[in-house]
Amino acid sequence: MNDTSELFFEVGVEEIPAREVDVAIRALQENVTTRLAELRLSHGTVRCAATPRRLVLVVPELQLRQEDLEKELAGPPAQAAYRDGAPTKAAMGFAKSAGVEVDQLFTKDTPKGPYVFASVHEKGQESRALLPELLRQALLGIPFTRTMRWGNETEAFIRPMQWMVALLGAELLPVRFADVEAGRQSRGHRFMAPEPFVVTSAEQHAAELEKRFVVLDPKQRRERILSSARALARSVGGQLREDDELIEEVVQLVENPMAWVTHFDRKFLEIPDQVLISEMKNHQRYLSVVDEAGRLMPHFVVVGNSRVEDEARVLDGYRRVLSARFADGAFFFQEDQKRPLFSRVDDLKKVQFHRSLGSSYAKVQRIARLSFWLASELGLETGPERSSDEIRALAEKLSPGGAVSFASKLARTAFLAKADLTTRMVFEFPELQGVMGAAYARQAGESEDVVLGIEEHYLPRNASDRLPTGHLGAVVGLADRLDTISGIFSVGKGPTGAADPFGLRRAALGVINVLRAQGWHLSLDKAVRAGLEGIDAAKKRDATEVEPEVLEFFRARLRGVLVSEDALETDEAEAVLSAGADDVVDAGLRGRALAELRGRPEFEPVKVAFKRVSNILRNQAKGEFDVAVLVEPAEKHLLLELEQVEARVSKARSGREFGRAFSHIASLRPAVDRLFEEVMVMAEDQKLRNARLALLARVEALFAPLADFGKLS
Amino acid sequence: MGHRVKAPPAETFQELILRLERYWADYGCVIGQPFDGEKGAGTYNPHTFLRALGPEPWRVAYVEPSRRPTDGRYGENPNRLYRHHQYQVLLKPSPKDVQNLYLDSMAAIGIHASDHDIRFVEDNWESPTLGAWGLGWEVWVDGMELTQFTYFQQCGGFECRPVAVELTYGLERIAMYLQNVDNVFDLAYAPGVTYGEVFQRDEYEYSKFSFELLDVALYQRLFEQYEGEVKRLCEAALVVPAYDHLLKAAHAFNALDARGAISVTERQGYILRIRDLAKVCAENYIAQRESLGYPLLKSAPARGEAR
Repeated sequence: MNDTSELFFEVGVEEIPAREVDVAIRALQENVTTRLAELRLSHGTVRCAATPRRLVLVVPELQLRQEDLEKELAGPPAQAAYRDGAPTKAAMGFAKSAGVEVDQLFTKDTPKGPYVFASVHEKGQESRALLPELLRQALLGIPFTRTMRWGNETEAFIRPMQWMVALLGAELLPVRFADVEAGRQSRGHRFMAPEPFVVTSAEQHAAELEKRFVVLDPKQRRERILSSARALARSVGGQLREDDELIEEVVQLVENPMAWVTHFDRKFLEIPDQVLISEMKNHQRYLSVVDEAGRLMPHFVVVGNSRVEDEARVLDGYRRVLSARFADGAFFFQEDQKRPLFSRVDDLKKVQFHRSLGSSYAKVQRIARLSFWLASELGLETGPERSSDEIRALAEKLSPGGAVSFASKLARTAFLAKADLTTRMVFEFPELQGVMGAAYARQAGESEDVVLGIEEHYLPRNASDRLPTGHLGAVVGLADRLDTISGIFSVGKGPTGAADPFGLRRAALGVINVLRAQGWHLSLDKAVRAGLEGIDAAKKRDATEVEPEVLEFFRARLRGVLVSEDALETDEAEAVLSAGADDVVDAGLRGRALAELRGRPEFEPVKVAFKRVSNILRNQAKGEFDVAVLVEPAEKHLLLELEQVEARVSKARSGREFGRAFSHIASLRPAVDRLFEEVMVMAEDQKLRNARLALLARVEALFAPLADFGKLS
Repeated sequence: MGHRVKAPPAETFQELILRLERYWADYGCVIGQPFDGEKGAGTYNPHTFLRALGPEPWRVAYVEPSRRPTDGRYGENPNRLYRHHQYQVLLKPSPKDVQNLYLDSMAAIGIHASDHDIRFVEDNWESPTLGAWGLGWEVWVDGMELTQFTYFQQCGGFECRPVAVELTYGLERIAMYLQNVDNVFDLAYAPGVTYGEVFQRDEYEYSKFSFELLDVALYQRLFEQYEGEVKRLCEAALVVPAYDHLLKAAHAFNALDARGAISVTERQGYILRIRDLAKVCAENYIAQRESLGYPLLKSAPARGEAR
């Protein structure tokens, strides 16, 4: 039964949203692979590729028929199946459901006692009978963000389906989805080769698509776009600004990428680069060109989908659209600058942050207070505790450009951080928040530190973004995120499942990464408490209830960071966090030290020894420690060693030299091993036992604050 | 379309409209007329909002003058208008070949796929005030968004079954593109008459009115009264007049918004109030068509219902 054939499946769809194409590729591949395994059908590597107009799946060497299956089905307990040797209703019911005669049942012993079994022979089915439903389910199982119906249909897909091709070898599979029935006909490029063609195999299909102006493989489209865009950017004396997110999107907007370079009016370069880049990216999906210093040049690359007769006319179109957009941008930029940025602070009273958490102005007040608390906690600013009104007064006293204390600049940054939310530019381009604030602050003559702080308090915007370089942005950004997390958890809107509408996961990661980058030893416990203290109005839940949740939320993010960024194994991260997750910088240092120690050959015996210490101490009340009671040489020896090691470990710990601390602890291993070999810890004599347990407790106390060895597998 | 002689670009604004009217009339659409009151988009015309509801088939095409008070620029901005014009097509159920029908309509006005980079770029449409949403695309021609293409999924809070597809052509933009003009007021409206000669003064007056002179207290009062009227007329089972008043209320809201008379917090409240009205109207319309026995179903039974 080794006959195989190739499965070819193509779904033609009206243009799929760019970011959903990848989702579909991955899910289709995974769904089909999983389901084929469940059906016991062997096959070659499942391949999936897609363009905005089609999803293609190929399974080479797919087994044409399932193997027959012999299996035993478990029925009721023997006791219930027979009474006085005669089968009961339970036995008859089971036999019927298993499709065998009652007298074919047999009894077998199981760990739960004797049970009745039936031996079933399941005949293998033809793949062609199983595949239509499998393919349908694979399509239905794609986790698209939002699906839709069309015409009179009730089944939903990402966009209306136009055609399907489903072939097993030469055989057409009867797959149906909504109003589309699978056939043999596919199509080429929408405009350049619209006429249908008959598919006979995956290979022939691929060859036809090539002739019909479709580049099926997203990787190939990407390479083609990148190489021509780079060359075009060089041809005008610049280089391509490589924005991965944008390039990924463009890859999924075309079947037949064609790149062109053209220009815009130099006068628009007066507008900040980021604005122009945003206009080009978000509205037009144009790629920007920069010079060697990274400054925007008045050129752009556009990636189209069709070859056209008159390129000049099309390029003229691209330029005109952009000019109109830039003209609008220039207008907003000028309008916004008619008022100094600080005058916008009070406008935030009219902007709602969250229904239960008040206006953006209230948020800014909380950010200001928290920023000062943090600064003092971090040893940056030790002035007296101030109310938000006092901080505002401090901010206002600082006239733009004046020389000033850190406290004044912190106050100014905190109050200006969100002022750009009321500008027209940020209204048009929300992603420019911070960037516009900085541009307008600079124009209003704010000090460069404050300008930088405003821009940087949003950093990092995502996991791969850059981090704040100055203290002002770092502190205000921490305060902003702590406030958002505390507030949203307090009103009961924390993330659930995949849904995280307020971006709290990203915010918590931001806190962790900023602390790590700055090397700031902040107590998360205290910080979260300080954050929650600021949330009073209309909160729905009590702080004592929210606090542990928020800390656990941070801990989960920190575990992820330790694994992904410090390359710890999951159990190492767990061991480190079990010993303490309050100081994220510390946790990272301990983690790296532990991983390093674990890589050494002497680690295993050390781990075993110290796990043994922990195990023996578990559930034991710690007794009093009287040195005089100890009698055996091994325990006296351990005590002696311990006293020296304790001093060294304590010194290493206070200098946060955790690697060294671990080495010192490891050096105690022979003495610990000797104790276990020569001494019976759980002695009859209670005094002696207590002394020994207390001795081991001191050993445990050496490593307990560093890592919980018990969590290591 | 490849075999026919390529239609040359429509040379005037009115020629553009006439070609679209001809094209969609030939396809079998009812050629509708603009709704005779103020509204923000062709979707608000009862030809679309009400007819998208329920099982009856419907094909309609019409020009819709659409007011967006916040976009008023005193007739000084080359691209923004207090009142622009949409060409609106609603096809229900959505035909299988609607993308090609649309591309042919573009060819009819002189925009040929072989000459341009035409792209369907994701656009999810939602009207919070109408309780309506749908999925589809913006259609880009050489980077310029010229049409919105939407498969209605919900309308007035009700599922659309069957699904209607809505094509909304931005007439000024298309005309500017066809005529190669950078300022909307320079468009040829008709031979020898510019768009500016027809509308520029209106733009100034409407902007002046809505940004400076609009009587806030009056419009607030009007909003309340129109709102009450929708409910009263729905109770009397007069769906169309009720819906007229919904449109008046929605326009009063837009006008107040442009005047800066609505705070962020109040804004959501207004939107929800209009949505409630839309829901009541939709509910009543559905019930009314049912009690009339779905007259339009007789000529063309909906396939989905029969299955």
